[in-house]
Amino acid sequence: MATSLRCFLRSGKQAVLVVARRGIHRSPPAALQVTVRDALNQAMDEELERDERVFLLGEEVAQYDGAYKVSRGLWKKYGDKRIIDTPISEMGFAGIAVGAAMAGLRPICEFMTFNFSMQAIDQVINSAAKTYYMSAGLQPVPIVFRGPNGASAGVAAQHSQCFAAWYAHCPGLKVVSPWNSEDAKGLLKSAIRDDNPVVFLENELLYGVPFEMSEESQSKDFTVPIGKAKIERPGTHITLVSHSRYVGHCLDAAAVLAKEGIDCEVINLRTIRPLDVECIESSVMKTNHLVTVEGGWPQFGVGAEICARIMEGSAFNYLDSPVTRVTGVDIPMPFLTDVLVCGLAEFGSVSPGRRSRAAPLKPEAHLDGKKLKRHQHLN
Amino acid sequence: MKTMLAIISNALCRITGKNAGAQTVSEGARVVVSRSLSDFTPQATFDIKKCDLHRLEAGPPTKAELTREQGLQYYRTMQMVRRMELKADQLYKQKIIRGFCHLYDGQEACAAGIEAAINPSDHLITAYRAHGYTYTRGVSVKEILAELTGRKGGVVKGKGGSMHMYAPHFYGGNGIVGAQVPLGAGIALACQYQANNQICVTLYGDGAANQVRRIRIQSSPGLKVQSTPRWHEGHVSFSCHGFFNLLFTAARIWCRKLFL
Repeated sequence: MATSLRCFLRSGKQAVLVVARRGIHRSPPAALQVTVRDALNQAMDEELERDERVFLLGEEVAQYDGAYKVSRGLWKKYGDKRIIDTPISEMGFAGIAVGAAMAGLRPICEFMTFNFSMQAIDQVINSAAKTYYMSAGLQPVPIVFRGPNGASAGVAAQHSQCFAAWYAHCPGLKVVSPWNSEDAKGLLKSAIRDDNPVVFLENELLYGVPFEMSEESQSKDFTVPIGKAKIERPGTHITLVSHSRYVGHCLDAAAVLAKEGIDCEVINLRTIRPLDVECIESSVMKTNHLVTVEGGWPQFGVGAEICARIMEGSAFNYLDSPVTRVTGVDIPMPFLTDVLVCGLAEFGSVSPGRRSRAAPLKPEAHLDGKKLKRHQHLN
Repeated sequence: MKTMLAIISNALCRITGKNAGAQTVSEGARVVVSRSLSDFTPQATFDIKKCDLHRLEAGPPTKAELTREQGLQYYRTMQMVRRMELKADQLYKQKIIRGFCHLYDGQEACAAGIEAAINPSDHLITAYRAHGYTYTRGVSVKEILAELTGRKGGVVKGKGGSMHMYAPHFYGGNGIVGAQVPLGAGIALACQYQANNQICVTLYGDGAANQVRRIRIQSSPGLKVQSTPRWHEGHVSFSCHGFFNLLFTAARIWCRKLFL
């Protein structure tokens, strides 16, 4: 159904392009609404077609079309050799994937969620991440580990952990965390083409969300470079840095704040490791205020790392107030269904005698089953 | 008396050019004189214990033939590994080698036998007791000892150490017990995927057998060899019989026929 719809839309797009080229009617090219799931599917389809060595393995990826239908249609198209259903043993099939990567193939190893990757984390870290260094460059491991990360809706503590900080801690891995469909498609293609092990953190709640994809992003060679953040919304008063689903929350907050006259700059990290510190620093030098927003736990997290890097770098002198981290609460995720929590976060603080700009700001962040806690540093 | 007889026998052989062999010099003495250089056959046949089969129709052959050249080559390999490991032991005790140093002296027959049965284009992966396999897979003793002592002339420039040595089609050297088994299965999957008629030999010990869960991926052409070392460091002798068992347990012919 989705495939035929896509075909229909593509043919429509082709028609528009032809007309536009003839100069008969100049209109902007049709941008498509594509869900993150379809974008990931497209990325894998295109890379499987492009390179014979690429293959996908994981639980339910073949005959079931994927636990979350991300690999829909791929088994029918590519067959048993390239889309492999595995038994329920992450330790086993992650090891098999890493071994296949060592021997010259380019596997995509899907974890049903990254919570299960903990079973296989020895293979991800000790066998995949460290090998290129330990072998002094003799043995590359071109593998992608992908799957949904972080909180979902009502899946409780053991199925809701965010692993961004865990994996980003380790040298030898690249860690990416896309937000919209363009991110998802472009980053997955880059990850598959990268010769390093890449941890690709998706978000289950984003799978069904449609985003506009530009015409350029519909090309088979469209990639998003790993290691570069994107400024989703330029602003002047305060910088909000986030990754994955919470970029959407930041944009919503920015829209609310814009009505109060506060102009937020929203940065979509896209890549957690290597972190694009330059982008954050140049933004902080412009706005003088920084808030990090993430779903993971606060201690030793992505926000903590950003704070440390800003403090160590040249942008520290431009800060008018300490960095605020907005994170998930430091508890195992409770089981809460249909609970919308409005998190009120106060950004920055006004201290008399300083020419800082931020008045207490109150963005509304609607989150399913999750509380936000503010870490405020008072001057 | 016996020595006298031996000397006389050798002298006579040299003069006559005959094989003295097991000839007795005199009926009454019934002494088998020691063998001389001219007294050996160009090849020998050994019986191999029949293996238990699981999901196989045919097993490896029950007889093995060894030529003189092969025998000398394997002996040289084993001696080299033995001497290298004894030296590593000495260096370790002198604290010139730091960290871990898992030695392979006493198990050289496994490495020599497996290497004899596979091609250089086949793949091999093992656990941390890897020095012997690093040698049989083509890395020089100099590079191995340099790696053990952390020098940049080492096989991985001193970055891996004892447990992490790599070579073409040799995947280490893995520190975590049992981790190499799924890796080996993955390498075998790659061989099958690429249809290149290669196999992967995965080695693990009796300890790892506890750790590892079996993954049944259909038709994965991997050979898993479990070594149950009955000798520990310092033990001098090794069993020739065991050596040839291993040699032909890893026989390439039936492996290929089975899996590919």
